[in-house]
Amino acid sequence: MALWNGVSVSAQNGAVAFTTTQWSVVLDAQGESPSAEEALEKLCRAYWWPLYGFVRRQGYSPEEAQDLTQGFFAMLLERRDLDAVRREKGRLRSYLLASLKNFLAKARRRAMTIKRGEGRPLVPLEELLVRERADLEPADTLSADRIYERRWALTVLEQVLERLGEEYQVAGNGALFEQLKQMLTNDRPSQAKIAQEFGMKENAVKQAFHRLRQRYRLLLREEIAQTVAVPSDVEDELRHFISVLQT
Amino acid sequence: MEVSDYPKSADANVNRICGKCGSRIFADAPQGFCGLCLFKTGLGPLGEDDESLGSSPVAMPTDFDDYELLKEIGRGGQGVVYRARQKSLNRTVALKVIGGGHWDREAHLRRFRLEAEAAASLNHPFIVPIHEIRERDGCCYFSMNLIEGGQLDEAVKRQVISIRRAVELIAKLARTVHYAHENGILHRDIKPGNVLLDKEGEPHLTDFGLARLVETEGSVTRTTEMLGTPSYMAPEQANGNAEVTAAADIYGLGAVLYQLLTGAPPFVGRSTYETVRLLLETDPRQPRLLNPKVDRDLSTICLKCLEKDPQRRYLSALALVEDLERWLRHEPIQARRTGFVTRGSKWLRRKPAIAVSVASLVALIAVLAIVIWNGELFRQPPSNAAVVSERSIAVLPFLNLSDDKANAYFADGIQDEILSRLSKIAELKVISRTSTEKYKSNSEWRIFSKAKSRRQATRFESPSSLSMLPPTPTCGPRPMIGK
Ligand SMILES: [Zn+2]
Repeated sequence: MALWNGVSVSAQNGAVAFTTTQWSVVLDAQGESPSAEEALEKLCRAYWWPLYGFVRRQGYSPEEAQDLTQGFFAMLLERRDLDAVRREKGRLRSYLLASLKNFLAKARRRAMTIKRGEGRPLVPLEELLVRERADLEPADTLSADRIYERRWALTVLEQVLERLGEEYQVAGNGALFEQLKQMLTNDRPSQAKIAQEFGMKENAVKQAFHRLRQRYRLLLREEIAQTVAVPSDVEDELRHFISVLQT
Repeated sequence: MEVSDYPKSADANVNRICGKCGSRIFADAPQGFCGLCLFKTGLGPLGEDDESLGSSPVAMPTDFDDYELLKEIGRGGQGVVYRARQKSLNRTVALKVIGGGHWDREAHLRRFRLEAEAAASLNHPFIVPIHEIRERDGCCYFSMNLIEGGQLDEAVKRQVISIRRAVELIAKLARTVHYAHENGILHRDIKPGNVLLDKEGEPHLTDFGLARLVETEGSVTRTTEMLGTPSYMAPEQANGNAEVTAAADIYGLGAVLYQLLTGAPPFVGRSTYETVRLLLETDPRQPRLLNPKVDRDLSTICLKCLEKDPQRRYLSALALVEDLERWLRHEPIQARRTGFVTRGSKWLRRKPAIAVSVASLVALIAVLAIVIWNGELFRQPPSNAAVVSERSIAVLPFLNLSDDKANAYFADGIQDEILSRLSKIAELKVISRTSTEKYKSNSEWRIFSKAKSRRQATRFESPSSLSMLPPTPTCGPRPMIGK
């Protein structure tokens, strides 16, 4: 689906390519820059779910939350004040949350008549509603900030798994992927069983899994790289996500 | 202020406990995985390499028989599209790869081949020609002309298109579809993703007959699962019983038109299942309720395509073209509007249980209308009598307070119908829907109620408020529907 095409990764060379990540394109842009705009839009489209969850947690109805989220994106794309982020070499995740809080505070002060952005909404209602169904988290025990962080972490994983699955699908190995991916979180959905099912040697299954895990790790880092300004932040973010999900 | 309208209790949604790390896995976990374990796995070393594995990770395949894959340019439920170079002819093409699924490959591939070959025989400037159909490792792929402008759904996300442009596009597409129908070929899956715009902005239809590949007779779940969103699917396709005819393509054209006019497809549920249920059980909301710029005739044309009964749609794609072109020339259209009363009774037949509450609602409205008409609730300030020379009336939006979203259609329909009836009374000025639309959201309503008391004192300070609203809001609490 279009929503998940948000981040494009150049994956051939094994190394995480920092020079062209979406967020760095946005940060590096001087003045008007169509490519920066496009990059920011892609990022917003990929990461709307945490933002929307934050707004909902403030007590807004789905419709209001949609309007506010769209309004926020419109504002963001219209006039971005990125200077501060540039100076701090900030991360997209923190930047969006801070801006959103700011935006909501202003919206409340103006007794909220947020105009819908002109033209098509960035995230179609359809997708919001599909996702709304998945508001199945321990919501009443979580603060809005925690919902945001949690959803952000899960969104990262979703993007990566989706991408990985598509690669296998295209290579004609979709069915094998469905089996192998279980091994990413579980040590033993019996290699022997997979080997039997696919008429492979057990050793070949093992190798195939190693390849999959390598690819997964690379894509995960690339995905995170899209949202940070400096390479050293990637591992940091990874650990941050672990702590978010641990508590 | 963190409020409790937020859904569900925590424990109800815990699917299970992760066997590895012991943390709880919630229903929104990515593909059902323990997120924590996924990140922990991800944290592992990148360079770790088993000699025997070889060094190349699984990456985008670049070499594909006679083709070199250059760049991924699109992706959908059915496969991935690449910009590719055909080595033997040294030309750039689009290559669509249909991933191996769980369906009965042999039979489907054979059938798909037949369909695709039939489609390949179509020769029309607005049908994307297929060059070659081949198989590889249980995948099917075919090459076709590369259209540079991208998919219609992507294009409209980038730029709003005017209503006129939308109608012109659909008229062209309908003509193209008519050509295919005359050659005995159905498209079966008309949706924005299958319309490609070229550099001149002309629409090209792609994936003719492809839906066949993923259809399994009589199985909704299978079909929708494979096709992705059923939002553009005709009801007879969704319930899988009836034979699919040209009318399904006319439905598809109507659904795309609906999308272009309103920004959303006719039916959107929270899940595939719910979308199908809405598709089968409810009527679409009138496009002009979602976009006030859409006029009544165009709304009528669009809804005629979306009739549940295939026989009530346009008899051919050509008939649709002709009506669209009449609309473009500002001539009277052929399609007749299904009156609100007819639509209402169709709807009631499907939902007899709430007929009673609807009846009482209608009674309430009748009373309200008479009261307003007699001026009981609506008084003009004497000082402005000269300015407000006519009686005017505003009908505020009705709010659907029932749990059933489908009733929203009824709420809008009632307002629409009252407006159109009132507008026939010559001496009465009816405030337009656009001016009252904003009273739809709760928050606005609250603001409005508060502002009301203030306005008593200050009303008509500026003459401009005249065009906005009547001096006093017309009615008290908004009527509700359902329980
Ligand atoms: Zn775990």
